[in-house]
Amino acid sequence: MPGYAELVVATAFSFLRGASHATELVARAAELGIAALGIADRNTVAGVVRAHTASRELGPGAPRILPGARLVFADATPDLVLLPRDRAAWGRLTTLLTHGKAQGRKGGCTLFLSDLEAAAAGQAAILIPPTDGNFDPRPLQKLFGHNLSLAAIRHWRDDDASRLRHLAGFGIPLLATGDILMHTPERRPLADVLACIRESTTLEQAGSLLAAHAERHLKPPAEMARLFAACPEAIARTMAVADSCRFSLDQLTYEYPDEPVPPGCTPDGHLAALAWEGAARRWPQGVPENVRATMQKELAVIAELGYARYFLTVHDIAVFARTRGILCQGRGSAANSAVCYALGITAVDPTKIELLFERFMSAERREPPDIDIDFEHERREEVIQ
Amino acid sequence: MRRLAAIWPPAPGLHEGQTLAEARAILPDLEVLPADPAADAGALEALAQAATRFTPMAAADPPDGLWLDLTGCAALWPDEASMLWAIAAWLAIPARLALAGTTGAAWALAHAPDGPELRLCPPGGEAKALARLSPTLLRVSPRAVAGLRRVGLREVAALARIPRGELTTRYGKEVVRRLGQALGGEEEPIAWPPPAPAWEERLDFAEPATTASTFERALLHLAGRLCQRLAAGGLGGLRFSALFRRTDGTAARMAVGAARPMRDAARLARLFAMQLDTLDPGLGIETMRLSAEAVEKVAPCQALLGHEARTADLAALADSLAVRLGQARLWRPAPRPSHVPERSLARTGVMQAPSWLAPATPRPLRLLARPEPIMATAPVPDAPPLQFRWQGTLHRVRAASGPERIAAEWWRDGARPDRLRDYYRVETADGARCWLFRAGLHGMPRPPRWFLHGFFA
Repeated sequence: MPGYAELVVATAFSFLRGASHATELVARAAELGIAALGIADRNTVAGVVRAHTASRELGPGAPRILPGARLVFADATPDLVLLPRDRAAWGRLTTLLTHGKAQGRKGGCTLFLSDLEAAAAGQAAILIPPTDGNFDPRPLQKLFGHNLSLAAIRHWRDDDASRLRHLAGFGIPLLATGDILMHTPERRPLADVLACIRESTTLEQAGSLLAAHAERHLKPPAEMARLFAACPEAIARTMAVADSCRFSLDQLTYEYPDEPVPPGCTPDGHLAALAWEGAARRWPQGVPENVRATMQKELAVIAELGYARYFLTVHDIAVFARTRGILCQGRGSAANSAVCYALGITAVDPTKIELLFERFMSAERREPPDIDIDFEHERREEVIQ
Repeated sequence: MRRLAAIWPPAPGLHEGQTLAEARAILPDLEVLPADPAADAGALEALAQAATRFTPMAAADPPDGLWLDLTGCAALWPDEASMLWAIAAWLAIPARLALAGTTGAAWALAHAPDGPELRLCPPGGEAKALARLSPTLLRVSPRAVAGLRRVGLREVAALARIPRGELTTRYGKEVVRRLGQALGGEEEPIAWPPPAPAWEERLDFAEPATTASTFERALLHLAGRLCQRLAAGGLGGLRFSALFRRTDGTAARMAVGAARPMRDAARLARLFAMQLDTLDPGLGIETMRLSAEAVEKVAPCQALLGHEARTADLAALADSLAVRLGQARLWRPAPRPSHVPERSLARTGVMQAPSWLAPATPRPLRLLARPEPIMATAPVPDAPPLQFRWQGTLHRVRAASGPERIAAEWWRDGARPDRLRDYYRVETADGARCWLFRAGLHGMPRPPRWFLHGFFA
């Protein structure tokens, strides 16, 4: 029994089209035994996070989530689902979407075929043929080569079989999909109501604006195999494409912007050097033993969590202010840090007051630290610039 | 800045012209409706028109008043007071009424802020009734009122004592005119609207008539006079009625409707004549009355022109058919938005030409009003049938396409997931092309049933 991956799924983040939440889709796909889900919301990647966390929470048996987007173009290009195959391709997809939203109206996204050239590398592309079945595949074939697939969808109309034969004639490999909008057919009333809201009409007047049936729901692999019995290679292609997409949201981490350090130093080393220098200035007679132990502990925690560059940035701001003669003062939980005192960011002396570093930063709380500094308000703008 | 235009019922602290914010601060649960001066003016005109039941001379006095000239009308009531009561009861809205011998006095008494809602001023008693009222109630301009007040003339009585010549020099002719209109001596012209013409023609027979030929001639004669008047006004009638009054006082009625406004006398007479066999003359008809009940503007059209003549013929045919068969049985199909085939048709009037779009999926030429149950054999779960039995005959299927899945309209019929139809176009061994459907799915508690819904050829 071949496996099946459903690669064109719209969650509720395709506003006023998708009728199911990502969590519901993931749960249902797990029940049905679908191997992977391609999240393809309209001109956005907003739905992938929920799908990813839902799949992670379900554990083994949950479908693998392939983050992606369904691109809807402003020119005559047919809809295209892009599933990035690696991390770099994901970056290109998100850049493309940002570009589309920048050149569109507020809240809209305007994309043209020419925008695709920069983003095409490394993507698995699925072309959704328009309803009349006529389109020009050559520009997309040129961009994507053998990574392009043609979506074969059962529309449950009289001419399904002849349409499928017509699509096969384009020479692009067929890929079976349900073009999913909901997780079970019971969501059809909600999908119809959303369509009426989208088209500003009522159920009685909508007529052909509503779908004639509720077949755009997740189906078990056996049923999909039966529906596409005339072209089993379309089913096999879903698994092939899913296997070629190895990008997952786990590969993304937060990247701190560049903070320059002197050549030859690491951020941690540079921070430690500055901290000891500052400590020597604060206690010219020699750093007290307990303060030394505290500072070593703090520097170790900062190094473990990797926040050295953040402290360096804050130190830079404080130094800038001091050199211009702008008054500045650290406050809040940062006052609990001896390192901050040593760097001159705060003014609470560890020898005089007992500090609780865990209130500021700790290895258990995975949140980044938050240092508040007050500047004299007339000259605040200078610092911001 | 939104301001109050009118307040009902009167509330302390609220007055016209106040800003809405201030009013809401005083009365938080104030119900606010947008003012529509145009609609108000229209309603006032309609009220004036309706008030002609009391007197033929009724006119609107914008923004919120009515003039009624009731000279001589009190004869229908025991006295003038009960006449005023009757008018107030008919109005059925809160109103102030005042009856006086002059227009100015009546206006002033009706608009006076205090006092009873119905006021009767005895004939010749206008001066006494108006004595204490302010000159503004005479409809004098505010500037003039301010001027009068400055010299201490705050009441009509004081004003009346001053010689007219002096008043004219100081305050202009308008003050004197208004004073005359109130106290007598000056006429006030009021624009009474003319009555609506009645589209009616009457014929009285010298002797009670009983024969059909007499009625036909009379109908032709009346129709001729009525249609001539309609044509003079550029109008046509959409509904006509004929009243036949018998010698014993009872009456018989006939009605004719037209698809388009008409004023063709011969055709109108013919349409009535078609119904004459239902008329029972009794001992004899003594009066006939033909009236047009709904009239509309009709553009004059040339006598011969290709398309125009044909639509005129269609209208004539439609009218004759409607009289014969009844209006409800004459209709034309129009498209209605719906996926379900039998609900994609609506009925509309004969003269409208709806526009049809080509259907997205194939639809049969003939759709049966009710799908016919058949027995069909088809591979499970959704392949087209191999053969089916209809009205006792077994038909083998030579070729088929489908299924086209159409689910039920859940907002009308309920949302069960198996309420759907899979339609198949089939061609049988002897060449007939039919549209079959299977209602329901296999594997459900209710077994599916098969139907025949239409023919393609």
